[in-house]
Amino acid sequence: MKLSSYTILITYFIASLGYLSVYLVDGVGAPFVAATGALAASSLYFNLKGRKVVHDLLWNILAAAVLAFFLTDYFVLSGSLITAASRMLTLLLSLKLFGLGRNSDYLLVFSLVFFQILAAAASTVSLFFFLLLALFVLSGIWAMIMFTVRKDWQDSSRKELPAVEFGWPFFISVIVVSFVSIAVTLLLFFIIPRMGLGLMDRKTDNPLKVTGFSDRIDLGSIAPFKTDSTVIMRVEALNRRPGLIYLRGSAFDHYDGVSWSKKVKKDALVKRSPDGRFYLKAPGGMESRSLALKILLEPIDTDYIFTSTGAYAVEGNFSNLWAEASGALRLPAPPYSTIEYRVWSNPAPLNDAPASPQYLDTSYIDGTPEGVKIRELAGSIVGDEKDGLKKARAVEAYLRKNFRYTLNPKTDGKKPLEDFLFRSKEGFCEHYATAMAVMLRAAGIPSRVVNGYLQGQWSDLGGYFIVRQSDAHSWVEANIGGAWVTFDPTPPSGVTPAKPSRLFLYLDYMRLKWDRYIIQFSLADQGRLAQNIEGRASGLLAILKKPTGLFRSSTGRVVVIIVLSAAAVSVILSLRRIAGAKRRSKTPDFYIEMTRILKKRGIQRRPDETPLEFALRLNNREVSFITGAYHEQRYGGAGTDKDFMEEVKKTLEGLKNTRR
Amino acid sequence: MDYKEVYEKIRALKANLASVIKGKPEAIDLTVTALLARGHLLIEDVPGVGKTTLAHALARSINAAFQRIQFTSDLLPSDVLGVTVYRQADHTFEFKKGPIFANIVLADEVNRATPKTQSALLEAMSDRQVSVDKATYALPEPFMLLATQNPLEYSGTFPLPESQLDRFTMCIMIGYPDEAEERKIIVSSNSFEMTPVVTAADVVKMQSMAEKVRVDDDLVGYILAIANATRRHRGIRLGVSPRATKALYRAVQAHALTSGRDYCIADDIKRLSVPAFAHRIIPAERSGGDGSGQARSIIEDILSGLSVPV
Repeated sequence: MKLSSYTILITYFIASLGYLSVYLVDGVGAPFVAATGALAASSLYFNLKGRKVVHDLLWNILAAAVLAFFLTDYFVLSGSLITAASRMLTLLLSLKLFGLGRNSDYLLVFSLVFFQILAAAASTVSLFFFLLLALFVLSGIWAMIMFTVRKDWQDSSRKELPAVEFGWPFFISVIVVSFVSIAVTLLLFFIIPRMGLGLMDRKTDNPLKVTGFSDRIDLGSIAPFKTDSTVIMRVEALNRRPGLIYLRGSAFDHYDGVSWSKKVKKDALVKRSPDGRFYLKAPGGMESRSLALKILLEPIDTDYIFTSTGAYAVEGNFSNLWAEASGALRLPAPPYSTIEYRVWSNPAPLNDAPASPQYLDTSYIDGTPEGVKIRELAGSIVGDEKDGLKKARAVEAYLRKNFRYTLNPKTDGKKPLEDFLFRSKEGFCEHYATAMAVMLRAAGIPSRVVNGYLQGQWSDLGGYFIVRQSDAHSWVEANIGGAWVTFDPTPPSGVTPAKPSRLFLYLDYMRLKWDRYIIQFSLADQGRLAQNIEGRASGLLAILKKPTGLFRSSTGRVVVIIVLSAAAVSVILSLRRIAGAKRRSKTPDFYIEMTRILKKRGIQRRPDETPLEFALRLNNREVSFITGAYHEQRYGGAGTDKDFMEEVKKTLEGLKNTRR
Repeated sequence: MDYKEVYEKIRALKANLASVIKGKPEAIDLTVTALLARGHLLIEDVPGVGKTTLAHALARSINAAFQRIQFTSDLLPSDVLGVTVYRQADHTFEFKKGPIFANIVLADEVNRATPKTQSALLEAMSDRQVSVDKATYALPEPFMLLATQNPLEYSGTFPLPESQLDRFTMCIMIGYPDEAEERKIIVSSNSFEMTPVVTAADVVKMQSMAEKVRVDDDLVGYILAIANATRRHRGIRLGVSPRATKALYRAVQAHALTSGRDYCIADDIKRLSVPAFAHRIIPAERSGGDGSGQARSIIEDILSGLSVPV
């Protein structure tokens, strides 16, 4: 068998893979695939005879028609980008099979099939698709080798393709080579460390140590971290709401004099709902006022994730979540790399169920001699106020006014609360929060201490907050009228944190983007990208239906600008081409015409070849004649007398009509 | 004389030479081209392939004076140019013209003479005149120097300096004949009878006709592109001089004429670039072999990298 027959057969084989994969795309329809497939099959007859039915000009016209068909299909018939695009690709493929000639034609066929397979990949999960893909890769390698060989033969100026053995031994060796290379690739895929984690995440096996989130924490354990500027997370507010953002970690209900712990452990498993989010409770019809945060959490040695107060939904790449009774959220395991998740919360207090009894647990003050003093102090602050909120505000104001903020309070650690309240009157957030929680309970208000982070530092570069170890904080939540309200009795420390350098902000911003778009880029992101494009396209569709709106929307304006500039560029380019042709008009038209005719047949003069050498190589009567005429006119200054031009024209016609 | 006559005479001249130098149309073509370009020719080849015969045949085909100078190491400039002698009879000095005063001069084994004698040729070649003792004597028209040298034998030779080489329009090789031609050469008689087909005056006319051959601007650009490429090429230490490009221009015009055209085409340039330029460049490293072969392949390399004007 001749090489040309082989190339045709392999081309049809690959094309058939394209038809099969398009069949897998939703909405394309079996009749369409069958019709175009039959059209393609009929082209086999011409190709085996070596005839090119669809020439360049016709191909351009048909391609334009197919594009028009695509637009109608997309806007009127199917309305789906993938379906319409698949149909367009299939039509183009069927038509291109009638116009095989140059190597670039074959290459176009292969790329069309490749895009068909891509389209199928986007819309099918069929195992059959995997088979198609494997066959495409195999036959693609085979075809590429064959076309390279074919091109080399043509370049070495032999006119006839050699009848080399491209039979079974060749095919089998190609299969072996393909499998070996796929195997090596797989091996590399599995042994090469994942780039993102290996290179950028220094904390993979050395997670950040954080404090405040174990089951039991001693008062004062946060202090050493208040001067640590390591970044814990980055928080982007998707919709800004006034007020500080408190990032809740864990909450505690029991105080034993030196430490807080969780007495009631009633963790509930939260399952992912069909829309991909974890719903903690009903949003209560206040979604429009809710706060949405996007949080990038560095790997830390706790399984808590941080949410804003009043969170009702979380979305992230975790299998499930544990919700504690206090509303704190835990992952099944501490994250081993940076994780990204979104939180929706309603900062307005929701009408929760009445507080459980453990939040009113006053066993500590009732069981110690100084407990009475604490109760008395609480009573004196609250007075005879009846309203819960006013009581809490009074306690908060008292603590804020009468105590001094320091990270090194004078206490021996045995009775830190009493030292703070009655002796040194200085401390930091944990002391303030503890004091307030205990006094609220003494005054009959259910309360708990919450550990977490403050919103941290604003980076105007990326529009996000940088939360560090030093932003660790403790505050109080009190249940007032069935709703949990946040109170922060800690006064400002009086020390304004050093303003970070611009350089740091830039570096942090780059690191965030790297984490986001390189390391964390996932299938979901690809999906989002596709949806975004689809959304834009349908937006455009809506605009196009109402042409007057074209200039009103920004997308419309962009499209108009793009179309106009594309038109301008093409006009400029074609003007330049015309001008260039004029400039080069020293070359007689008939010679350019001959070059064009030969080029269509895949015959081209090498740049370093003189026209005479070219003519001698082709050894064709017409070409020799035209080359002679070209020399006379181009360099000999021969006149353009009628007979001469007539002769040249006739020869050109003869050349055009001869078939190889 | 019009172009038709010129083509006719050139064809006769070529046919005459071909009857003696068998199977070497290329060498004949280039020799005639050099003659019409008012140039000089260096024939570089092993002994016995017909270098001297070619020069002889050329001289005899033209009805012109021919001189042969066998260059040896003891040859003196005066042996070439001539000598001033004292005439006792009328007490005057008289200049006795040397063998250089001829139309066709064959300098056989030119690299065997000392540089002093070699350089005696310089003025004759470029200015077509000879200066001896404050007097200047013009050389006859036409004047063409054919020099031969053996590229393989180096002992006892003085390689031609670059300045000398630059004055040869072209350097050609003859090469072995193929088997059939050599068979004819063996069996043919040694002596050959030749009748002149052109006169010296014809040659002068033909030379001036050659200068009128049309060369398109784009083709001049092609010559310049080749020359510039030799000056930039990494494998070349010294590129070609403007004298070389001018020589190629003239040679290209003459070549068009010998091909029966009154206009140049790109093929003329491509064909002549190697014989006109290869002997003038100095390759960066003379890595064994013969340097001229290396230079030729560099020029060919340059040609294959330049696009031809269409």
